[in-house]
This record gives sequence, C-alpha cells and structure tokens, in this order.
Amino acid sequence: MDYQQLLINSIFNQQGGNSSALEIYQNNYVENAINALSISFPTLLGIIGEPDFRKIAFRYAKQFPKSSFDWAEFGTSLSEFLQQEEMFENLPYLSEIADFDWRRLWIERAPDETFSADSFALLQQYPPSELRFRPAAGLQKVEYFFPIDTFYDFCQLDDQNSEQKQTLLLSLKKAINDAIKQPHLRSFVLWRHQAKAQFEVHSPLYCNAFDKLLDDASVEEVLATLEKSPEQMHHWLQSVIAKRQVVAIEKRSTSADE
Amino acid sequence: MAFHSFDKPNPFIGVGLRHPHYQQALDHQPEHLSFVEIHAENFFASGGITKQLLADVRNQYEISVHGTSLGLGSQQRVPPEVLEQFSQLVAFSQPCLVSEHLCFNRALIDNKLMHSGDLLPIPYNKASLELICGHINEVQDAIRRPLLIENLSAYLQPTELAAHAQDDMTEVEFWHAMCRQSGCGILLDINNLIVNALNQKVTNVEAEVTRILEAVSPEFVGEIHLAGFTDNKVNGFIVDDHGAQVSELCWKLYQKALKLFGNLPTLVEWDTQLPSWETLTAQSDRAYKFAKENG
Repeated sequence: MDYQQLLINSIFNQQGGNSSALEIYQNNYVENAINALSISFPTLLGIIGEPDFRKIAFRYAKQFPKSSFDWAEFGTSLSEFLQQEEMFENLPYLSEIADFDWRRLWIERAPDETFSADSFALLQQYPPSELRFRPAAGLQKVEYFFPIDTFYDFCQLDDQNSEQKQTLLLSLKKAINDAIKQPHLRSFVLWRHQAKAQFEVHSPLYCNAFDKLLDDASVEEVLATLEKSPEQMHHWLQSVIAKRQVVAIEKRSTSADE
Repeated sequence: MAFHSFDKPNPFIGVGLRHPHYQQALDHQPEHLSFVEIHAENFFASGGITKQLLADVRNQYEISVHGTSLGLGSQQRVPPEVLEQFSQLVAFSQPCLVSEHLCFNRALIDNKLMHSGDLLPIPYNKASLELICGHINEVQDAIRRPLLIENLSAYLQPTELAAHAQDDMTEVEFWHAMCRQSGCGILLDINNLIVNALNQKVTNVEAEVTRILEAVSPEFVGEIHLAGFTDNKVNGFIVDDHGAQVSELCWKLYQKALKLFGNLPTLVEWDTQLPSWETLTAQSDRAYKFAKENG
C-alpha cells in the first residue's frame, strides 16, 4: 500500500498502532459520520435518542465506509442495515423509520418543479388520453407496516407538550403492537411542497390513481382508476392540485412527436 | 495575478455562512460585511431550499465557494459527476472567489473507493506536486477560472505512516511550485499555520508563522482565512475546530500579513460551537478595522 492507502485504511479500519495523531483522524471520521446521519435521519434520532443513535451510527460507519463526496449521500443503506442488526431485532420499525427519513431527505433535495395553474386549461383543449400529470418534486408512493406518520408526529412535539406527547406515545405503542400482531401495509404518498417534504396516508383507491400517475400514464388512465365514483374522482383531482402533488398538466409525447 | 472576478471594495471582508445564521444574514447585513463563504457540498442539491437560499444570498452578498471534498491531492481523479456538481454550483452562484484545500481525502482499498470526508496531509514532493497540479487544472478548466488552494492544518507527518512519503521541498516551496505550474493561488489560512506550529511544539509560534508569511511570494496570495480554536487538546494536539473567536495571536499575525500582502479578501471562519450572528460579524468588523488601518 502507498501512503494514501495506508492512511485511509487506518482511518476506516481503526488501525495504525499507537499513533495519537492517527486517532484524531479516526475520531473525526466517526464523529462526522454520526453528525451527518443525525442530520439525515431526524425521526430515527428522535425515536431512539442520542446514545442509541450514536451506537447505530458508529456501527454503520464501520460496516459501510463512506464512498461519496457529499456527506448527505452517506446513509443510503442505513434502513437495510437496521433490518439486519441483531441489536435492534426487537425494534422492527426502525428500518422503516430510516427509510422514511432517507426518502424525505432526497425529496427535499430533488430538482425544483414549478406549479403552472395555466396548464390545467389544457384539460379543456385536448382529450385526456393525450395529456399527463406532471408530478410534484419527489412525488412517490411507499408502503410501511408501521405507523410512520405517528412516529413523525411524536418527534415533532417538544418536551413542553408532555401531556400530548404521553397521549401520542400510548397510541404509538398500541399501533406498533397492532402492526406486529396483524401486519398489513399502509400506503403513504410523499412529495415536496414549499421546500418541505410532505406525506399523507392514502386509501387503496387513491393509491391506484397515484400508481398510474407515477407510471406516467395519461390523465384518462389515471382518472379511470376512480371512475366508479365520480365524487371521489372529483375530490382526488381537487386534492392533488390543492396540495400541489401535481404541478401541471402537459401534453404527452407520442411516437409521432418523436 | 487576479484570483477574484470583479473590482472588490477595499477592505473586502467576509464570514463563513453556516446553517443557523441563514435567516439573520439575509435580515441583517452588517455595513462592513461584503461577502459570505459557503461550503460547496452544502449546496450540491439539485433543488429545494438550499438552492433558493443561495439565490437569495447571492442577491445580497458576494459569494465565495469553498470546496471541502474534492481532495485534489488524491491519487484518484475527481469523478466527472462531482466535478459537474461543483461547476454547476460555481455557474449558479457566480462567486467572487473559488477555493479548495491542499490535501487528499480518498483512496482505493481492495478496489473500493473510501472517502474520509476529512482534509488529509500530502507529502511536499514532486510526485504530489504533479498529482495535485493535474487535478487543479481539471477543476480550473471545468469552472473556467483559477482556484485558490488553502494551506492545511495537519496532525500527522506522512513519513509517520510510510517512510517513502518524504518531503523534498518546504511547504512554502511547494505552494510556489503549485501556483506556478497550475496558475492557482494561495488561500492563506493564518490559523492553520498557528495550529501547526503549536502542534509541532515550536518554541516561538509567532516567530515561526512570521517566518512562513515572509517566505510567501505576495503575488500568489489571493485570500486570507482567520479563525480560532478551542483550548481542549485531544491526544495532546490542538484540534483545528474553528470553535472559538479569532485568537489574539491570529489577529496580530493578520496585521503582519496585511503589511506583507496588502489588503486581500479576508474571511472569518467559525464552524463549531457557533456564536450569534452579531458576535460573528463583530469579528469581521474587527478584520475590517485592521484592513482599513492598513490602507
């Protein structure tokens, strides 16, 4: 190994004998990793607290050495790592919380999308089979067994709201037990609005519409998933526009266009 | 040699802009604060709040883009996608200054890239010079302007790990050769010189740093960094944590630097245990005062 490989290997593998100088670089790596993960995984940090979070981050940083240039990209495998860690096998929801945090982070970093109210006039001009919805920045659907929304809400409460926090904790415990005893997937839609990642739980019916939308289907195909209930179709359409889950309507490119 | 892209006010003083101060920086621009320095990687996101913030900051301040992850002294080249992110940030923010560090930060271990996320020392020899100049040129070609390269605070001598990693020139000789060969400039971090001298147990730190300052060719210096450090030693070392106000010794040496190099863009760095915006900008006011007195 040359000098650069020796130093990098010493930092990541915490080797290098008794060099006190080397220990500074080794500690820097661990502390920077813990700091980066605590920024990227705020809900996980809030749920397990700092001491356990540091243990997780330390073990993760050793098992998954940083390879990216940007610390924000460090943590991509944390959710999978938590699934495999024996230390947390009694806390099966941690992996889903980490996945949720990671998605939120990247939704907030996704390329900007501008809302175009005028574009919705295209619905009057073209058949819906020729149009598509333009999704909001980071729009995606994800399924979790655990009540991730309640975990998130719990972390948003500060200690001054102790009564509210206690109530939420009780409902959280019940929801966790329910999810373990009778596992069923809950569908979440995540997107960005006004710089912040948003999320909401959706019914299977609405989820079908989002699945189609995310599949780049035409407006006609998306709305067809809701056609049995014109009232729900109307409500869904109003809702996705009001919440800026779609930002525009645009003409679909066809093979003739290309 | 001009390392900045415009006619700057004199004195030209800035502070490092860190997350907790974003809003205050926009709401309260101190009279003598001309620019803010951002860490490039904090603004690599392709969209979202940081990009909007950068646009707002750009409307109020000159911006200095300071890279912390390119590790230009590494054996491996900067990957094209990272260089593209860096170039896009420079194009978007139209900075008055662009800088990086004299360091390496990554290596292939068992054919896998490991990136330390730290600023690691390189030996001052011809092999390092060729390597870093090649990488500096790649970045300069991509951003179409010269870089400033910051001198490093280091806790380790490369020969402690590998006997072959010997210096064959002094640090200042290396800076000069690097500037001549690549066309880059020097971002002279006075605090780093102090921290190195303290960690090397130099008897007279002020005299040692003065000796280095006097050895540097003024034509190559494009910016000065000022900072402080906390007193807590780790393993007997002062850690360059930028966690305190600028040290009195740093101020004293800054005044010497102003006499040697003239008024240069000067930045106050404070990265850990961040103070209030007012305390931070009181430090930049002090830098302004010294630079103003210098003429």
